[in-house]
Amino acid sequence: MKRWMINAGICGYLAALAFGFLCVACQTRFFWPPVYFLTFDMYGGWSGYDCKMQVIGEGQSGRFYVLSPGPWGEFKPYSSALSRQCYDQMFEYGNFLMRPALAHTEHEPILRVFVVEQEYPKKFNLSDAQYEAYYLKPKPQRIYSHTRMVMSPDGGILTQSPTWLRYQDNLSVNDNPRLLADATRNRPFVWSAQQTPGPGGYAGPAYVPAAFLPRLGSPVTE
Amino acid sequence: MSAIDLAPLQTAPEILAPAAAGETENHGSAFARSIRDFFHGAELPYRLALTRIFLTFTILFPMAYRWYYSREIFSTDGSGISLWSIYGFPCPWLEPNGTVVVAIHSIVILALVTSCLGWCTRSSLILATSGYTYLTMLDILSSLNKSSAIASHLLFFLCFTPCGAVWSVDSWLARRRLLRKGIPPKLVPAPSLSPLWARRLMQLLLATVYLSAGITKLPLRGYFSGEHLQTWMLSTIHTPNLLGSYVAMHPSFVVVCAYVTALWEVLFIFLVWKPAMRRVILGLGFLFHAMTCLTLGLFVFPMICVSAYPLFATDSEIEWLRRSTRNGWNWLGARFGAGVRGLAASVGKAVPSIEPAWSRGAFVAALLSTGVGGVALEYKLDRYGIHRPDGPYKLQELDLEKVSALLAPTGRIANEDKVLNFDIGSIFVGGCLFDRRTTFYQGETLRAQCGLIPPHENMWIQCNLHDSQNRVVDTNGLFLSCDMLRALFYYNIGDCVAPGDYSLVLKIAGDEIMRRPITILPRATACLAN
Repeated sequence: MKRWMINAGICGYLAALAFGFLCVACQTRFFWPPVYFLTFDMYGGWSGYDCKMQVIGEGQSGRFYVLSPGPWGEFKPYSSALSRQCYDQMFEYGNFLMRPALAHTEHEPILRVFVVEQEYPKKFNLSDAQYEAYYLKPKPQRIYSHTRMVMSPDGGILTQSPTWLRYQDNLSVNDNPRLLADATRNRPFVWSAQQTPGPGGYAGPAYVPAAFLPRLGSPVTE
Repeated sequence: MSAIDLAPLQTAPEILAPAAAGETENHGSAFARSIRDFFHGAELPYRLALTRIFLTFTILFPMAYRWYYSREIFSTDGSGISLWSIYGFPCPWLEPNGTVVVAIHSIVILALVTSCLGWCTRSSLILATSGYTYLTMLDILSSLNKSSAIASHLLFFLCFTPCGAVWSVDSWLARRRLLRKGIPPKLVPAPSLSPLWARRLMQLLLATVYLSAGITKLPLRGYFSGEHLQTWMLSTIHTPNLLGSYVAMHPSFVVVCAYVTALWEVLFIFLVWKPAMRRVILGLGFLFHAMTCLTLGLFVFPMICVSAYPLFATDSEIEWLRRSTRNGWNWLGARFGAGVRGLAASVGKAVPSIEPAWSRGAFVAALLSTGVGGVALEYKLDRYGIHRPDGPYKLQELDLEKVSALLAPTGRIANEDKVLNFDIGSIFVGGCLFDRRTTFYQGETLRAQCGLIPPHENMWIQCNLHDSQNRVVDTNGLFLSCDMLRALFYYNIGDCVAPGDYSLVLKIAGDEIMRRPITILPRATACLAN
């Protein structure tokens, strides 16, 4: 009996491993927690940009406050350069990240929360000496900011835009006047579905063109 | 521990042979028999003990580091983001508050320590496995990752093995108990045998991890051309590393590494079982993980994977390790004299014999006191500053100047940021320039390569030759579609280009991006007519 139980366990585990491997090989995604433990698709995407994330709140007085990290200090899980919120690769968990600061600090009423994505080329991570030796000029201090979401203090999304990479990719596609004219002329009045291209994009399988996502205006210009 | 005498290792067939005789073991086809022997042999659990020690020691570092932040990253008092909630399976009852999380976290740390030492090993491993997996699932941002998933699998299988029967406090206590009862050392029974299936499944897990990682990379755009590894090496997302930024600027070396890595990952599952190839494959594995540490800044992931490597050790290697341990102990004894041994013996005599029930009781007491003590200490440390004399913290205000920079309209990427590298040479390896040169002779072909960072639009990119007074001598340009990652320019340096100092200037939309100085020398060989 015990031998049969062990055999069943072995077969079940091997079947689960095979299932996970097939998911990886066929680039199929199942959004179910146990599948995370069976699919080993490490380093399945890349980007030439490093990112940081800022979660800031706008108070009733018009002042802005840092909501993540909280005033008690940062938690840097891996890198000495990046706080925990910077590991939110799609900048979508601002509603969780702002929670402790709003719950455990004294503050004026917060009206809106902005999730801001900041991106810069990874080549800027080279040391100044290395950068100057290779590029033969001083390293510029340039960082691209992009408002990813505006939320209410209770976590509801008021408006959102695609990630900065998706937005820039969309801009580069829209640079083609013929394509833009064609798309404008033939755009359906009612979308029947959102089409997503297959995997293989530089940003990994979650690649979706920004054209299909709503774009928000800058809060400063609102 | 070293108090265990060497018992001759028995291989699985040797152990099984007497038991199998006359039983049903020899029934079935040769294939079925080989499968049965593969999973249902038995062995002394030295390999499992090594994995237990290395794995729990490795996991202890990230878990201990996170303890102070436990309330903030795992609990509903903080910003814990659980795996099930992001997949659309909200289970609020599974998400604990800060106090419960701190208690669980404290107990998990103790369980990892006792698992490493081998005290109440099975209970420790069960607690460590369940607690560690649960906690990592509560924080998908900074605790759950594929290395923690692999560690959870390995810990889970260790729970089913008698890996605490050797090199553990449990085995030391058991042996000491028997010696105290007057049993001669030679009559102390050998450690219990471990079934093979758990080790086999852990081996297959590691092999599947490598195979999946290799298969993931095969269709990935930019992997075999080097951009994938280059950009990861330049990233700051992991811990700082020694070599990443240097290696990343040598794309041809990166391309060679990419091919070797993918080949090794895919072949691991097929070759690691072959005696002739086992050491080569495992050696490459050590090298691979060392390089991920040195170039990508990975520490925990390599250590978790390498902690499973003892599972592939042969009997002779384990025998060698045991003898080395024994010899090392003897050398220490000889080096530091009889005093150390006498001290150890007197301490051993002074401590009373510990019965298993006492040991278990002490373990439970330690767990309870650690849980309660952890909660009390965390309350005292007061991460959120709620109990400060000044009252809770105030939110940090941002300058309006900084705010307007953050919330400004999204700008376009500067042309300069679309270029990663620009190199000049003459030899290609794996599609990348291998030799970087600044001196060329008339009659040679110069090759200039420019690496691009996506996203970029369809572009017209120029690579012009300027003389020492910055006058344009020659122009060259090409179209690049938005999916291209590399531009390549060829120059045949003819006799019309006089010897001297020049520069190759890379331009996008009229903006000068980079400039590479070169020197052109007179033709080294005579020009042949037809």
